[in-house]
Amino acid sequence: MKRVAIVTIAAVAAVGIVLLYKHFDPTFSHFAPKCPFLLLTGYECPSCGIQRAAHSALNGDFQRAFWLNPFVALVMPYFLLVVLTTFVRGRYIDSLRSIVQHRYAVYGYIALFFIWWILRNTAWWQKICENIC
Amino acid sequence: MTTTPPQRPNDHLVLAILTTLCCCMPLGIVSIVRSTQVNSYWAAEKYDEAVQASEDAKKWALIGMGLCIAGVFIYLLFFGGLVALGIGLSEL
Repeated sequence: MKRVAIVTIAAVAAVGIVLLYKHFDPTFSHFAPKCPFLLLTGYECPSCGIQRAAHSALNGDFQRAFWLNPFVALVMPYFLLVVLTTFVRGRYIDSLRSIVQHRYAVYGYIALFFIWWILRNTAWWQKICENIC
Repeated sequence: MTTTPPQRPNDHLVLAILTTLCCCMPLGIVSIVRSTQVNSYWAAEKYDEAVQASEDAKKWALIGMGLCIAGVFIYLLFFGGLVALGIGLSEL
């Protein structure tokens, strides 16, 4: 029962978020929450840009969506694999789990997270982003 | 004396990764590191440590999420307040 309730709430929230980000452009809306790390330090955090990316992707501009935050775009399939191997059992999925949820795979994710965090705040990256985003 | 628990504790990896992506990244990283330790400790038959790591992973992920959601609510209240003030002042 508890599981059903959690899944239902998550599904309703997901549909709500999709509709919200399809119609509101976070670039220009003051109601879109700003990143506290960006406000305090002036540097972008690893997740900065996902609201704008969601808006772009939901309106068909996949190129801009990707370049606003390539880290999250690339990590999303990995995250979905972790979700799949966590909640579904089976012979093939069990062997997939031992790869996807291996310690080193997770360490790789953490390493990528910090590399991306530094990279995106370099002048070099921001110049690239200026041209594409 | 450690008794063998019935099953491996949940490592809460999904929750941990979600917290790093959501916005509260330092707590999410703590949660991920503790999450990976669950299986290592379990494999090394350190059951108490495994259970402790599992609880920590869950705790930090949920605190991170909570802060994130609370932050969004405070932000919306703040801006909602400003907009209401703006409308109020413009009608003076």
